[in-house]
This record gives sequence, structure tokens and C-alpha cells, in this order.
Amino acid sequence: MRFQELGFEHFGVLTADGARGFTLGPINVVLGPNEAGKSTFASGLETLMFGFEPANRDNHPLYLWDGGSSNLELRALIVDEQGARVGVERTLQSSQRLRTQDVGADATLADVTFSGGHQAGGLIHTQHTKRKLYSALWNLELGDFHAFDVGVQKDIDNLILPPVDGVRLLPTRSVIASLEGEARTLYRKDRRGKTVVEEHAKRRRDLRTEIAEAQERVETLRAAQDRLPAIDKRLQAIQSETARLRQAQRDAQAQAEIAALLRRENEMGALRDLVAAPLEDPRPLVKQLNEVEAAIVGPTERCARSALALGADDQCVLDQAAELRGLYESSALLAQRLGAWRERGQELLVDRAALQHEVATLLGGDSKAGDSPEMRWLQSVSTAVLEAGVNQWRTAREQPKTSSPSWGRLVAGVVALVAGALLVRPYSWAAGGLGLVLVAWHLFLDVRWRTQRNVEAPMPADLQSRFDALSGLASEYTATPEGLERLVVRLDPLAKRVAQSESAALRAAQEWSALNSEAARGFALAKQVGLTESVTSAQDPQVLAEQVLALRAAVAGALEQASQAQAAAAEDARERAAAQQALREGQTQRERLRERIAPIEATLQAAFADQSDMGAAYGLWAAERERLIGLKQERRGLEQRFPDFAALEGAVLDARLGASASNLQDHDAIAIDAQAHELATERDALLEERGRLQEMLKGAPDEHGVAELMDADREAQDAMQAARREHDRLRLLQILLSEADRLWRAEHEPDVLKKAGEYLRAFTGGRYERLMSNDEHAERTLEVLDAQGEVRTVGAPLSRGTRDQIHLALRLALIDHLDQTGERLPLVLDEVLVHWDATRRAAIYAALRTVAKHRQVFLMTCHQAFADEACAAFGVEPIVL
Amino acid sequence: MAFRFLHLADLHLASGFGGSAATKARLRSSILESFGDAMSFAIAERLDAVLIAGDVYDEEKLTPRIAARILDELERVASAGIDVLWVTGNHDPGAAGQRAHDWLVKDLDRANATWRQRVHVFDGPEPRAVHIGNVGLVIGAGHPRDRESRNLAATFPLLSELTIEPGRAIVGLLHTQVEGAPQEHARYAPSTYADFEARPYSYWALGHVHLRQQAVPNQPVWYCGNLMGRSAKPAECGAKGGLLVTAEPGRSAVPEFVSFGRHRWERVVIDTHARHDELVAAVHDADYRDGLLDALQTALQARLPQDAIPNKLVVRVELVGPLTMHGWLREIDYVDELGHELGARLGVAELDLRAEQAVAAVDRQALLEAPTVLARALELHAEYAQDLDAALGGLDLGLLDLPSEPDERAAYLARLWQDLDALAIERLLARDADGGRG
Repeated sequence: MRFQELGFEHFGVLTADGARGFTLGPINVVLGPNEAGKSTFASGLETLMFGFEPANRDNHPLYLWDGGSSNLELRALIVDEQGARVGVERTLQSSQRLRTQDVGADATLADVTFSGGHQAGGLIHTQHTKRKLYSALWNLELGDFHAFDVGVQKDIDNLILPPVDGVRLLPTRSVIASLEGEARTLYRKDRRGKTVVEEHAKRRRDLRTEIAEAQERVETLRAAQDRLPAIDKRLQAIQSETARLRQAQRDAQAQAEIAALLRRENEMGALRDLVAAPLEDPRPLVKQLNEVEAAIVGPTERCARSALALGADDQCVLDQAAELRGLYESSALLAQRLGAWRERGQELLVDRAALQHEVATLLGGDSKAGDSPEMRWLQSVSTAVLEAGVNQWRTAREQPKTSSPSWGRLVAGVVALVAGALLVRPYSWAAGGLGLVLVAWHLFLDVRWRTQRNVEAPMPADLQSRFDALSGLASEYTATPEGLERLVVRLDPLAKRVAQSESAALRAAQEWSALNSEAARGFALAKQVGLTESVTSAQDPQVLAEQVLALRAAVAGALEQASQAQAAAAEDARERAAAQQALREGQTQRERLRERIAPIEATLQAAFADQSDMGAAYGLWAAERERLIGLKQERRGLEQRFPDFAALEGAVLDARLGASASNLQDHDAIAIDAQAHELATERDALLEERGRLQEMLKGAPDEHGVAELMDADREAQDAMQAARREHDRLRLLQILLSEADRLWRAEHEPDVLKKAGEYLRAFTGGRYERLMSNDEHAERTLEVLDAQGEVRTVGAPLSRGTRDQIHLALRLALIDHLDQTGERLPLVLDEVLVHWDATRRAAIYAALRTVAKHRQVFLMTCHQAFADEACAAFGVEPIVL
Repeated sequence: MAFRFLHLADLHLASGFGGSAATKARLRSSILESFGDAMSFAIAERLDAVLIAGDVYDEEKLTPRIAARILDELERVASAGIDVLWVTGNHDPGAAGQRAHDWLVKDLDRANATWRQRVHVFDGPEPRAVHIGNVGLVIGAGHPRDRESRNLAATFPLLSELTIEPGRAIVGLLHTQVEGAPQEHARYAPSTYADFEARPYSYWALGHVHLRQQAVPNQPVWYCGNLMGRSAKPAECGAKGGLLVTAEPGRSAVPEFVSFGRHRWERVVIDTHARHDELVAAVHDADYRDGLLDALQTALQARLPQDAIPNKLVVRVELVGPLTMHGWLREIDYVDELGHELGARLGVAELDLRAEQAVAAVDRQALLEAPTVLARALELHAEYAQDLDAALGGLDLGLLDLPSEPDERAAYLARLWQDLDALAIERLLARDADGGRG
């Protein structure tokens, strides 16, 4: 149906100035400023088709009250699709009225005379459509362009996708979108937002960092465990080294002090040795010497005087008296000894006679039978015995050089020793050893005896001569061994006694000779002093004794005279002796003093040669002495302080060989100090490190930290893999459902969306190809498929203009669908092109031209430019309100 | 006189565990106590030796305290006159420079005590023999590095090459993967049946595979398994410990299992496809929370080992297949809450309930017959599954982990595609107010 003419009375602002009438074409561009009546115009069209609403004049918003009883009145000339023309009149007073009137082809609205009864409801042309649907779809305004009226939603939905009975499903698009959303929460290609995979990946990165840190901590702990013993060992080493350094430091200090001491000692040089021994102060000695020398002046003079007073004769008398006294005493002794010798000579004579008698008795003759054969025999025997003795002596003298008679006994002893050893094994060797010692001792004694007795003893000369004399006789008695043996047995003791007698006689003769010589010396002395005329020498002891007695008497007289002279001389001598004694004592004292002073003086001269004054020299010496004592005390002090003083002193002395001891020690001390400081620093650092490590070990974290973290990492990895897998699974399901949805929609989606897609494609010049419904929520939404195949939900992401175009396309499709079974009702577009660009406006103008071929179009605008553009596009004149 | 020893392996004393944070902490302490129990057992039984076939700890996870604990236990058992023979494995390699090994060796050497002489560490790949009193001869070789690829078993001496004193049982000690063994692990120091058949020692004490088993059929070659389970993986579940071996010369020893693990992992799978089982059917049919809880409790009481101490059990329960309460179980918080309550009822240390593999109990045929997007999706799922690569090849899939290698790519897609139909149903089907499906 199409309106060809319109007439409005008392209908809103349009008729403010009176009734208005409009002649209409297929496309009508209605231009009017705001409040000019464009909406009223559209409302008039709808009212003409569906009636007044509300159906009460006073309540109708467009009724213009004019104080009278005028009615709202609308009239129109309509032509249907079959070409029939109908006049329509709608009035509203207390109720509304509708009258229609068929009209001819050439009649105008003014020509129509309405007659007949009133009707109610909508025109017959609108029966296929509800008014609300019309309001929502055909009559579009800018403000609520996108919203379907709630009351028509279900109808529209049912038009788009009818429900399937029996199975109640969630909207497919909603499920797919949900899958998409879930997948995007799991993973996003654009890496925007915090996806599950990304969170797991981040968690893994964090965990790997934590694992590395935990492993590092474990390594650190382990290193700490390993480090602690090393630290302890090093601390011990440092302790030892420090102790050694301290010792070295002490040694260095000691060496320094010792070196200083040595330097001071060396500074004394030779003085040290000179003042080493204590030196007596010479000054009292000198004073004493002077006093002594003064004291001996008197005795010296006295001695000189005594020497003048004492004559040489006195001295001679004194000397002779002394000699006579000695002679008298020695003569008395000589007389005594002569008496003794004479008595002993008597004994010798008696013994000799007894011996001769004994020999004679032995031989059966008397001692006087010297010429008897027996006596001769005896002499011969004596000779033989003596010869045998000589032989024996000779043999004995030679035996030690050749062989010893004791060898047999030695051999026997050895044999006995061996035999004993064989018989008594456990003790044999001890016994044998003892025997061997005894044998050796015996042999030694035997040889020694023989050597001493026979070898070393000189052969008496008289005996030798007598042996020689009797040697011839002895040979006669050696013809028979038995005789010889018998003689030897009998005469041997006798021979020994003879020898003894001879020896005694010999000694007596010797004593006699001594006495005689002594007597001769006595007489010589007597001669010398004038007591005798000659020196006597007597062969007869008796004579000699008498002479001695005479001499003694002479000596006694002389001695008396001498004694008197001697007494006088003795007095002088005593005086002189006293003076001499005093002089000697003084001299002795002086010598002693000089002896004492001399070394002191020598010492002082050696020490201080430039000092002529011994007192001053001694003062210097005493000072040096004090200095030396001080050094010694210092040395003793150092020795007490340093037990190893000797070694230290040796080291200092050794060091002195190379470099200056003090320099060397100073250098050592500095080096030791530096080293000790370094060690102390290291020790402190180690102690601190040890403490820190021990604290760290004490506070070590849970032993399973690494394992836990690795488990967590593994779990995070598993979770990430699971998330990725779930993403892929959801993605595949998304693909499956999308494809199923696409196919199902292709099979079941109504034409309305297809048609809408066509309109949209036309409006957008192919930018969008297809319009689809989405049952995502309780209210279905629209989606649009672009040329790139991307599906977009119709909403905010799209531009306002595009959304307007989509909704317009949908509405055109819907009204096409709804008008399929009835008249195609006019389309009213009120300011819908505001957001369209020029290109798309041109596109819609073209589309509307097509639409207008079978549906009347009203395009309303308040913009002159739009109106001009549309009129130009459509080739029409605007309807200006 | 027989050679009696304890065969241990794969102690992993410093490694982590599955379960909650509290359970992890508990198990970390527990495994060290389990190790102490094993040593106490050896002392109480007056064994001749303890043989440890590698992986005493994890190289990168060993801490000084655990190292000290290991040394304490070694000292305790060695001081009792028992020899300890330890070959290194891929987790505790023994070459110089291996951080943890260096620690222990250094600590051992630092100990410098008489007991140290009884601890024999085989850290090199060349076999080395140690006499145990006059009863045994143990030949062992260790892993110097963590990725030992050589066949160490093949370097062990043949019996003909050994000069054996009478009365000594020959025992091999090695950390190895026997190819063809019932359960395989990472392929380190790989060995073959033939290696052991050529060396018919009285016993072979092996380590590496955590599941206790006879490694070579009809041969005295055994994995003793690990000391205590670490997670809910199948090889980690069940009773764990060591093998008590009485070896005699010329005879194959038969070991006897001794449990040492103070805690025990168990994994129970309740697959509701098997609804012929009444207990499983009850789980499937339960249509309210407490009903499901009761059904699960009953089912678990029947399936958990009766000889285990409940509070030493760490249990994972996996619900697989259609569940009436599936919609409610989709909320992970509900699952966790249900698991905690179930664990408390059973008195176990921890119960971890998993329902990822549970699906909604729906009439699939009815869904297919209705003209809906879901029906179209199910049809497409089945259609694409015939040739996924062709069906999806031209699409920008936007997958994160899609391999480039064709076979891997196909396998990956197949794995993901496998249960997408159930997921499509789960996602598209509208939920009733009470959590069920309309």
C-alpha cells in the first residue's frame, strides 16, 4: 500500500496553523526543523493505518485543543498493490471513527466523500502485522533505533530462529563464545591478559628461579659444611702461626735488647776486660806504703850502726861455735852409731862362726878342717850348688822368652775345663771361664815372679867370683844325678844361709865405710877449727871409736870457749837482728804493698794511659766498673727474662755477621708485626665467616625445599601442558560446534537473516556479507560476518553508523518477511542517516530506490543538506513541514 | 652356609611425592623412616649384607640433611657388622663431579671410621667383586652418568671366568633396564635376557623399574621395586619394600618380599560402563549427592586392600564413564569436597577423587534424532573422526601443541577428538536447575 495524499486536522504541531495536506510519491523526503512535526507526520501515517492510540481525544498527545469541539481528523488516499485506491478518514472525539471510501483512479483526496458506517481497528491492509511490530520495525527513529521493543522481541526471535521441540539446548553461539572465552583464559595468542598458560609459564619461571636459588642455597650450605673444617684448620694454623710470630716477635724484641746490650758492651771495648775483675783502691795502699817507707828509715840506720859495731872475729867465733856445736852433736851421734855397728859386727861374727860350725857339723868335720877332703868337698859342693843356682837363674831368665813351665798346667786346666763343660753343660762354661782365669793368673804370677826374682835381680859380684872358683869342683859331683840331687836337697838351705850371711857382712862393711867417712868429715871439721892436726881414718872400729871420743872431748872444751864468745856476740846479734827484723818486716810490708799497688797501677795505666794521676785514673776505672756492673746486671736481667738468652745472643751475633743486628731485628720486627696483623685480620674474618656459616646452617631451610620446588615445577609444567591441551581441546570443540552451527543454520535459518544480509551487503558496499543471530543470552543478539570471514557481535565494537546500517538491514528484511502475506506497509525513517558517511548514504539511497519500487518510503530529516542530497538522489522535491 | 641379604633399590630418598602439600610433607618424612626400618630389619635379622641397586637419591634434589641421614643409617647398619653394597643408578650417578655423589663420598671418607670399610660403593661401569665373609661374592657395577647407554650386564664375568671359593654364592648387583621386562622404565644401561641367561648367578639384584617383578623368566633376576610409592601411578601403587634373599652356591635363590613402605599408594578406577557390578551401578545411578557418597564408600571399601592400614593409605579414585550426577560433578570444588568427605569416612590419609573422565548419562540416540545443532555436531564428530587430517587439514586450527610431524599430528588430533562428542553434549545440553540435564 502507498499513501498518495494526506490530510491532517487538529493533529499536533502539523496543524497548528490549520489543516495540512500532502501529496506523496514512492519516496518522500520530509524536511522540517525540530518540532516542525516530522514525528507527528509519522504518527499520522501509523494512526491512519492502525487507528488512534489512545483512542480518546482528550488523552491523545497530539490533540490540539482549540476551546471548541473539534476533532482530530486524518484523511488519506491510499492505493494498494493491486492498484485499488481507497480514501481513509479517521476521526477522534470521544471515540475514534474510521471510514473508508473506494475512489476512482483520477480522484483526489479532496474529491472523496466519505460515507457509510464507521469501522474500528486497523486498515485491512495492515491485518498481517501487529501495530507494535510496525512501530518497532517500520517506523524507525534515531533515538531507539537499535532496540526492539520488548513486546515484540519474542516474535522477532521466532522469526529469526524458531525453537526445536524435545531438546533444550543452550544457544550454540553462546556455547562457542564460552569456549572461546575459556580458551582465551587458557591462552591468548596476543599474550594480553593473564592466561592460565601464561600464569603457569610465569609460575614455572618463578619456580625455576626459586629452584636455582634453592640449589644455590643447598650448594651454599654444603659449601659451608665443607668450609667449616677448612676454617677451623686455618684458624688452628693461624693460632700456631700467631704463636710462632709472637715468639718471633718476643725473640726480635729480646734480640733488640740483647743487641743494645752487646753494643754497650762493645762500646766498653778493652775496658770491659780491664774492669771485669774487682780492683782495689790504690790510694790507701799508696798512703800505707808511704807510711811503711817512713817507718823503715830507723831500723835501717840501726842495722848500719850494728854492722859497724859487730867485728868480723865475733862473727867467726860465732860461726865456729856454731860449727863446734854441730861437730859435738854429730860426734855424739857418730859415737853412738859406732857403738851400734860394733855390736852388730859382733853378732855377725858370732853368726858366721855358727854357720861355719853348722856346715862342719853337716859334713861331719869341724870348721877348722878347711884343708880336709870333706872341706874341699864342701867347697866343691858349695860351688856346684852355686853353679846350679846360677844355671837356674839363667834358665829362668830365658824361659819367659821361649817356653813356660806353666804351659802344661795351662793345658791341663784347659782340658779339665773342656771335660767339665762336657759333663756339666749348664755350668761348664762358667766353670771353664773361671778356670781359665785362674790358670792365666797363675801363669802371670809365675812369670812375674820369675822375672822379678831371677831376671831383674843382679848377680852379686862376690858370689859370682866364688861360683866361678868352685865351678870346677862342682863338676865332680854332677856325675851322678842321685848325688847331685841329694846334695841339692841338703845344701840348698845352707847355701841360702851362707848367702844371707854374706849379705849381712857386706852391709856391715858398707855401714862401716859410711861411719868412717863420717868420722873423717868430723875430723876434717875439727882440723879446720884447730882441734886436731889431721884428719884421721882408722881401719879398726875400736880405734876409730877412741879417736872419736877424744875428738869429742876436744870439741867439748872448744865449745865452752866458744859459748862465752858466742853469748857476747849473740847480744849484738840480737840487737842487730831486731833491727834487721824490723827492717825486713818493713821491707816485706813495703814489698807487699808495692806488689799490691803494682798490678793496680799497671791496670790503670793500661786502661787510662793518658792519666798520670792514679787517683783520677782510679775514678775513671771505678766509673767504668760501675758501668760494667750495670751491664752485667742488665745481662742477668735479660737472662732471667729470656730463658733462651744464649741462643738469642748467638742469633744476634750471627746476624751481626751479615748486616747490622739492630737493622735486621728492626726489619724482622716490622715484618712480624705486619704478618701478625694480617693473620689477626684473617682470623677475625674467618671467625666472622664461621659464625655466619654456623648461623646459616642452624637456620637452614626445609631440607626438601629443592625437591618441593622441583615437584611444584613439575606440577606447574603438567598443569601448563594440561591447560594447553585443554585449550586445544576447547578450540577443536569450538571448531566442531561452529561448523555444526554453520551447517545447521544454513539448513534451518529463515530467509529474514539472509535478506538482511543482502541489504547489509548493499548498504556497506560488500564490507559486510551476512547477518546472523546469536542466542548467546536470554535475548538473542546479532552477529555480522565481514568480508574477511570474521564474525562480529553487533554491539559497541562496531561503529554507530555500521550498527545503524545493520539494524536497518535487519528491519528491512523483517518487514519484507512480515509483508510477505500482506500489503507492504510504508517505511518511515526518521533521521536514521545521521551517522552514515556519504558513501553509505549513497548506497542506501540506491537501496531505498529499489525498496521504493514496492514499498513507499518516507525519509525524514531536519538537515537541509541531507534533504537536498536525498532529493537529488531520488529525484524528488522535499516535503517541507 | 647361605648368603642372606636384603635387596633394595630405587629409594629416591630426596625426591618429591604426589598428593596434597600436607601429604607430601608426611611422605617425605615417612620414606626416611621406611629406610630406617629396612636397616633395622637387616640388623635384627643379622643379615650378611644389604644390597642397594641404585637410585638411593635424586642427584639434583639431595640436600645436606638427607645426605647426613643416609650416612647415619649406613653407619648404623655397617657398625652392626653388615656390609652395604650400593651400585649407583641414573638418578645417583657416581662419576667424579656429580655433585651429590661427591658429597656422600666426601662425607664417607671424612667419617674415616671402621664402619666405612663395610660400605662399598660401585660407582664405575667396570664390574667389581666384593667378598662377603665366606658366604658370598657380590659383583656390581654402577652408572657414572645419568644417561648410561652401555649394556653393563654384558660386562659382568661369566661363571667360567670366575675363580670361586667353595661355599660362596655369586650375586650380581646392577641398575638396569631389562629389555622385555614386564614393566619398562627409561632405557638406561639396557640389558637383555641373554645377558642374564649367560651368567647364571645365584641371584641378580636389579634396580630401576619400580614395580616389583621377576625381570627374566625362569631366572633368579629380580627387580625389588622401590622402597615406598611416590604417586598414584600404577607402578607406584601397592605394597612396597625390599626382597629378603637367601642365596646358596649353585642354586637359584627365591626372594621373599618384605614390606617397608610406611605409606602406601592405591589407585581405584570405578568405570561405570561396567554396570553389571552392583556397586558400580549404584555409583552410576546415584542422583543426589549423599547417595553418590554412600555408593562410592561402599564400592571403595570393597576395592581397597584389606591388609593395609587405612591411615597409611593415600588413595586416588578415578570415576570413568557416564554418571547421573555428572553435571554436578563438573564443578571441581564439589569433587574435592566429595573426595575429602569420602576420605574421612574411609579413614585414609588422603583421598584424591578425580572425575575428569566421567561423562553425562544421556540418551545419545534421542539427541541424534532431534534436528538440533547438537545432533549436527555429533554427526560431524563421527564423520570427521574417519579422517581427521582431511577434515581439519584446511582449517586454521590455532592449536598450541599440534606437532608438525604427520603421524604425531594425527595422533595428537585423535587424542583430542576422541571425547569431543561427550564434551559437546556436556556443553550444549541445557542444565536443569538441580544440576541434571534436561
